[in-house]
Formats: sequence, structure tokens, C-alpha cells
Amino acid sequence: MAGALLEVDTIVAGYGPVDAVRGLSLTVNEGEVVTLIGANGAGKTSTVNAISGVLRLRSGAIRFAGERIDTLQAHAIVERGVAQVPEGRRIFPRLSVLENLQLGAYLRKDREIQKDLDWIMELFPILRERRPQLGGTLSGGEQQMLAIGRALMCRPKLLLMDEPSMGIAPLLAAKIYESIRQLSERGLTVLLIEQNAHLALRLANRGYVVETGSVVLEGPAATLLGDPRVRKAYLGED
Amino acid sequence: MTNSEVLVQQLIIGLSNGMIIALIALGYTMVYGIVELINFSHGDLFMLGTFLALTVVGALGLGEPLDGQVITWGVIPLLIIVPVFCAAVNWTADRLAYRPLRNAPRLAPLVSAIGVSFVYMNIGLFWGGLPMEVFNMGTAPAAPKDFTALVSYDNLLGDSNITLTAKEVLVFAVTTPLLMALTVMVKYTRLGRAMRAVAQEPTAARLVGIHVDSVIGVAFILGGALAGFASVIYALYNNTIYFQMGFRVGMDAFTAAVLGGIGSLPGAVLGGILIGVIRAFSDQYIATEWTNVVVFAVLILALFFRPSGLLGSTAAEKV
Repeated sequence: MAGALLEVDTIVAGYGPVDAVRGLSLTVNEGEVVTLIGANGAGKTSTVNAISGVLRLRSGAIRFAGERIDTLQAHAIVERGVAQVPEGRRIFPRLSVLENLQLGAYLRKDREIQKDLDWIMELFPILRERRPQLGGTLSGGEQQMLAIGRALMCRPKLLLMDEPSMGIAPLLAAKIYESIRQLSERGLTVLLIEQNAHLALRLANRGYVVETGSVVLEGPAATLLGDPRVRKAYLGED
Repeated sequence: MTNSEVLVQQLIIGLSNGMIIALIALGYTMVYGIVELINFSHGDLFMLGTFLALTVVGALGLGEPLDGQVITWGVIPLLIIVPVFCAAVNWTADRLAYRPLRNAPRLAPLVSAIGVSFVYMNIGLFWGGLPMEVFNMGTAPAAPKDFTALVSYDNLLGDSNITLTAKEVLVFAVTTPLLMALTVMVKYTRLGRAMRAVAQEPTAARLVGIHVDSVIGVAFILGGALAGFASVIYALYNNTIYFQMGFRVGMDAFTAAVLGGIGSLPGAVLGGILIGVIRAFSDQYIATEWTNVVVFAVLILALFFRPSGLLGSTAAEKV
């Protein structure tokens, strides 16, 4: 497929005896924002963890820029340009904000790390203010910005975001979504996992609806927003 | 000797032993901080280091010093060979015994570590039976071995009642730079930052591209090397080694790590020094047979008031 940056091909993966993901397929083209929506436990997080190499596949394949990545270790996948903003943010609690950001650039050896640090602190000015503070002392919304900033520090070609609005005040969530829009305008490709279908579908180009580990509905975001099944199940309308 | 002279003397002895305990405690705390494994074989690794040191002394034919002069050229090869050996052994134990159990319940690698401890102890017993002159031709493998006095007993303070020998100087000359180097490494280098990241949030560490298994391997290498340095200076300071000494010294070091706050590097050093000094004072002012009681009573009291140790992290973290 021309322009496909990420291809997830009928993958099966899970923890213990249960398969959380059962034959899920999706594609993300270069420059797109694609969202994966679904209820809690639908297999969304397992899908991004499989893409990042943190969860091994039982079958299926994942290709990034044409190359099989499902057999690679997590660090090798980051090296190829896939970064993840994990669910629950997972920032390093006893490292400073600055150190958290520097660790995002762990695999980089170029000389533009400082430039990117400045850029991220422009994107999220609160991080500049909180630079010497320990990550664990930030509020939930600030931690989310830090997690996004850390992921951006590796200069990803594809950014996986797992529920960036979870547990965050609506005003801050809107701010974070605005920053995702800005990043997308700069050409970053994004795969966005959300329970908040409304937020996600208004931002994304395309969307997939996931139920019990596989895709039940897919299409342009605008179409999904108008689909009565989506409106009923995920937007809380009758 | 006046009272204050006795006090200073015991302080010198306590600090010297404490610095050695601190080096071993760092190996416990570093591994625990990063994989939450209490590496029970660490004390016995230290014991193997002393046996290698004595073997090297025998093989190189290093003898007693002449005219009270320190044979530095005898100490230097020990300070290179033994840490490298202990680092390699510790890394190998992780690779073969602990790494395959990384995702197993926590009790599994713990029991493995106890097993590795017995393996090391029996290697020590076998080693002491080798037909070498330094091991009395292997006639009594289990008996304590005299460690050749490479460093002079002469008092550097001349006629003073307080004794300060080149041995104490050696202990501080080896431990202080090591502790400073470790601090700088952990605080300011890319590898040090990666170690702290893996210790705090291993999944996120993988997601930023850190090869977690290699970083854990580095922790075992560093901890092993520190135990190796401790082996050499302990043997040169105390001049007796035996195959079961790893248990007692390891227990002191483990206690030091817990007292200071397991997982905390400054905590391990503080704990080590405290245990060393408490031991010396208890030997002097109470009675040697009460020393273990005193040490563990202090530990229990300290944990009663500060359950995560003196410098352990108590702050609640937002998740």
C-alpha cells in the first residue's frame, strides 16, 4: 500500500492464557492522525504495546516503513522512529523534568538535542518552569505533557499515544489535544488511542472502533462521528 | 591510653571496616534498586574475591614487606585482577541464573541467589584445598588462611598511643575515589541516568530505547567490581580469610544496605559506616559477644522509626 507507514496485520497478542488482541488489523499512512477507539479492555493498550515491542505477538505481523518490526526488541523499534506516550504516563518519578526529557533522546547522538529541548519547552512552557523539579511532583496534566515531550525527544516518525486525556481536567485535555494538532500540522504521524471518542474523532483523519480485540468498524473520522452505532455506544447518545 | 585516645582508635577501626562494608552494601543496594532482587550470593562473591587475591599473591610470589615498606606493586595487580574477576562472575550469575527468571514470581530468583551462594561457598572450600603454599598445600581446606601481610603494620603516627597504619590509609585511598567515581557516574552520565530510569520505571525505560537487560548487567558488573575491591582491602586489612566468611560479612553489608534504605546508594555508604563504627564501639565498650545483638538491635530500632531506612525514599509518588 502506497504511503503506509505502519501496517498491523491480523495480530494476536495478550497476557497469560487470554488473548487481548484477536486478529486486529490497521494501517496508518504517513502524515495521518489515526485513532483507535473502544471501551476499557477492548485491546487498545495491548495493540500499542505490541507495536512498541513491549508485548510479543502470538501471530500476525507488524510492519513499519515496509520492515517487519514485530520480531525486534523494544529499543530497536524506538531506534527506527516509533515512540510511545504510555497509558498512565509512566514518567520517571525521581528524575528531574529535564532528565526525563533528556532520557527521551537516549538513543540520539546528533547535536540538535538542545534545539529540540527548547522547542518542547516552547510547546509546553510549564515544563520550562518545572525543569529542576522531580517528575513525581508534577500534576497529572503536567506529567502528561512531560510524557509527550519525552516521546518527542527521540524525534519519532510515528507517535503512539495511549489515552492522553485519561484522568486529566477537561481544560488541560483540550490543551493537550491542541498540541497534538500542532504536531500533526508539522507532519508528525500519530496513532491515538482513546476512550473519549468525541475528542479523538474530532482531531483524527480516520478511526477504527475496537471491540473485544478486533476492529468492528473503520472509516474517515467524520463518518464515524455520524455513525449511529458509534454515537450510541461511544458518544453516549440514544 | 586515655579515654579519648581509645575513642579515636575505635573510630579509626570502625570507619575502616565500615568503608569496606559500604563497598559490599553498594552491590546489594544497586541490584535491589534495579531488579528488586536481594542477591544473597553477594557476600560469597566477596569471599571468592579474597581467595583469588591470595592465589594471585601466591602465584606472583609476593612476600612480606621489607623494612616496613608497603609493597605497592604487590597491591596494584590485586586491585586490577580481583575486581575484574568478581565483576565477570557476578554478570555471569545474572545471565545464567537470574535473567531467565526476570518475569517469574519474586521468590524464584531469591531462592536461586541462595543456591548460587552455596555454589560459591563450595567453590571456596574446593579452592582452599588446592595444593598451593598459600593454602598450606591444601591440607585443611575449611581452615582459615593467613593472608600475606603485603601492607605494613608500622604506626605512621610514630610514638603516639593511637595507631594509624598504612593499612587504614590503603582502605581510605581505595574506597574514597571509588565512592566518588560511582556517585559521578550515577548522577551525571548517560549510563547512570539510564540505570536510575530502569530502577524507577522499567517499562518507560524500554519505551525510550534503553536496553534494559544490558543496564541490569551493568549494575551486576559494577556491584561485582566493588565487591572485588572490598575483597582485596578486607584481606589486606584483616589478614585472615575462610570460605564461610561471606555469610558474616555479607550479613553486615546487607544490614547496612537495609539500615541506610535499600535502593539508595548514599544510604548504603552511610549504613556501612554506621555498622562499622557501631561494631567497633560495641567491641570496645560493651563486649565482643554482644556486638551482633547491638548491631541488629540498632537495625530494628532504626526500622521501627524509619521503615524504609535512614535515606530510603519515603515520599509518596503520584502515579
